[in-house]
Amino acid sequence: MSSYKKAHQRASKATILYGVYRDNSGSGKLPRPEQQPRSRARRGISIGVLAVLLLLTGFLVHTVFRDADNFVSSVEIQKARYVAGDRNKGLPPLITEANAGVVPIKEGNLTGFLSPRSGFFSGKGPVLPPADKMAGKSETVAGPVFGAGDYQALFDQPGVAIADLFGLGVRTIVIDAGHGGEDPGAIGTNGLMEKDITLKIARLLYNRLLDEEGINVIMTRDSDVTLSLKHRVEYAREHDADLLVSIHLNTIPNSPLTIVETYYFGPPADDQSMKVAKKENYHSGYAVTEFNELINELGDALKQQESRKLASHIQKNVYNTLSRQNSNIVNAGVKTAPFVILLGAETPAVLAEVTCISNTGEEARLAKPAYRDKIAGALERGILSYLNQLRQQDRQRPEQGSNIYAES
Amino acid sequence: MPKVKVSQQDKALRIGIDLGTSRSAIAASNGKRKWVQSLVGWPKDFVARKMLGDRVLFGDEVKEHRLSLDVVRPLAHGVIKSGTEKDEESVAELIGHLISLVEPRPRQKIFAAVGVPAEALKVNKRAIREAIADYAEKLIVVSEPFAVAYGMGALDNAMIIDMGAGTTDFCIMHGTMPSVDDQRSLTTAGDYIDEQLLGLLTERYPDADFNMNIIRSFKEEHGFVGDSLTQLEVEARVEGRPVVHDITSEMRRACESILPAIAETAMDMIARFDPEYQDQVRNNIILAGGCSQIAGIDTYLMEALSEMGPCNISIVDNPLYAGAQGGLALAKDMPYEYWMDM
Ligand SMILES: Nc1ncnc2c1ncn2[C@@H]1O[C@H](COP(=O)(O)OP(=O)(O)OP(=O)(O)O)[C@@H](O)[C@H]1O
Ligand SMILES: [Mg+2]
Ligand SMILES: [Zn+2]
Repeated sequence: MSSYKKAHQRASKATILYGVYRDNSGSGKLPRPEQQPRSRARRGISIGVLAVLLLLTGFLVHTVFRDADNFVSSVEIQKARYVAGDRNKGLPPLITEANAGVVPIKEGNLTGFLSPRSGFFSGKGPVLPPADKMAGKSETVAGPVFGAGDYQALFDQPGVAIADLFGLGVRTIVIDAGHGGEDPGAIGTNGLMEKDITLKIARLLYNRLLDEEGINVIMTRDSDVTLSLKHRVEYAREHDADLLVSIHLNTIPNSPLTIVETYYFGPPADDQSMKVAKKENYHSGYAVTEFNELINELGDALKQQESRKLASHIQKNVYNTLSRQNSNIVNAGVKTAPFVILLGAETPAVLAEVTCISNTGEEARLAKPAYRDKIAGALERGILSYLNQLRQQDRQRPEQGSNIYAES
Repeated sequence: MPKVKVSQQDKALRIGIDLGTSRSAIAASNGKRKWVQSLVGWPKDFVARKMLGDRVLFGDEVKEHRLSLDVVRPLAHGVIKSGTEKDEESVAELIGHLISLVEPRPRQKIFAAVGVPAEALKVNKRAIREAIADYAEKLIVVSEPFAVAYGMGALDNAMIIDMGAGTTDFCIMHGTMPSVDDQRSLTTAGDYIDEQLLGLLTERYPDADFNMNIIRSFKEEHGFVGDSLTQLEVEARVEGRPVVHDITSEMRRACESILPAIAETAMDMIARFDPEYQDQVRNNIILAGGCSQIAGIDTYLMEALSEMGPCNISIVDNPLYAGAQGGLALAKDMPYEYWMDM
């Protein structure tokens, strides 16, 4: 075939595929009569199970820990952190990176390690390493996991994951392309805009995840539109999202530095995190009172722990990938900061600042499709390795509930 | 921590389905392909359920147990009979069965492109979409001849004539999505030939007892148009005794009976284009569907169309799977952005 003819064929193939799409998209979204209610029902049951687990574990933790003197050392080994924040007073106490790791453990607010299988009760050590260890060693995990109630203990051990509580059904992942429309986000020296690049990366990530088994993937935006954070959060809620990944690009003014960092919700670890959060919270669309309500609703240690795990999987993969392209890139690790989008989401949620658009070298690379696809690939691997680990845990303990009964 | 490998087999299964009046076929990206007769059997009563189990039967099994079953040919006449729930349910069951035949892994996502008779597409696209919605994550529905054209890469300057059982479907491809005017459908196809043949034979041999199934399989083996080289003989009972009958000329007449209308329609559709384009299309006519295998059919049509000018007609390599294979090609090529909001 002549090259002209080939090009012509390609062109008409594209035209035709577009035609097929147009022809089929009109009749649009099909209501799926059975599937929605089914998953709702499952969720309902799971929440019931969760509640029972909470009560039960609260009780267990109290009874067991009262006379377990050596427990504290076990806690330290696991680096489980807990802050007695008063949920009803708005923002939790500010904790700096420096003191985050050494929060004193007070009686009654015990944080512990309760692994039904690994046999805390039988005196053996835990089988599974903690989440941040599992995800790799390169990242620093800053900031506390805060929540309230003794059930914290349950969630601080890696055995109980969302997978156990919500079953292994299809997971809905929401991909949020940061900024958009009137809000360009950060702008590089040569004019590249954060909103455009985050959208492109989000699309690539969407494409990659769409094929994946057991994953339902949606995007908060698929065009250059202005969307408030409130809107994005509500969108994720409406779609019963299981995970939310918000994609952003960092800027470090007047510095050639390029860093990769991934956030989950929490008090800001340092000034820099606070600045990043302020920048990303712009356009939030929340009234102060609503914001406070959201914070009051928080107290969800499970979500926090899972967010941290997800963040570390993503951070590790993005950093590893990008450092191969640019050896000067700095691993700023997993951090916490009060991002509205992360707080409002009911699910494990992270915000990835995948690289710095303020670095001109990075800006140039970000303009290239291949580089963006590398980033999307790294995000995909992060998400999948997180989910994979959930699945593995699930396989290792097929009957979560009965184990607790059996061994206590 | 084991490395996460995103291997090809973790991916969604792409499938192409050809829903036909008489046969339905499926081809999948895992390399499997299967076909069944488009017959769905529902156990009639308690006794039947006791015997066959409380399940729906398909294809040959339906024939075998037809006395115990309510037999549905859900796409008879190329459409899902609107309003009849049994037909819609049967289409859904048939699609589910086809998909099970290519063995997707549990929870594997399915992206499907389904080709249906052009008429069905017009009449009840919604019913078809609903029938498959339970099985497929993403779905596109196209007309059957279009799926064939796509699979053959005949995207421009081409005409597909899909001669099936219930309908003969036409589709002109000119580099864009065919419009309503580019597609047409005749209700004269394989079933019509069978009826003609039965009619002609009963006329000539009023005492003989011809069985429709035998006639059809005889047509499939020996159907021809134009000159025949051998004499065709078939055995049929006369007053209980098997008697051999010559059916050569009846076979020819029955098979040819559908062709004048087909040639007429083809010329009519081509004539709508400007002369230069007409020549190109006339030289790229592709015959598909079971009846394209009738011996001599390409030569016959080439002669009939040559009154418009020289023409060239080819026959698809594998009529049984050309539609399903074309659907699969579509399902594989469709960009993600498009699947996304379907
Ligand atoms: N080798 C053959 N020679 C002649 N006719 C054949 C042959 N094989 C199948 N047929 C006939 O082709 C018809 C079936 O073709 P096909 O499978 O394309 O139809 P279909 O797709 O089920 O029907 P439709 O497209 O009308 O919905 C039947 O009439 C069958 O008898
Ligand atoms: Mg057909
Ligand atoms: Zn941003």
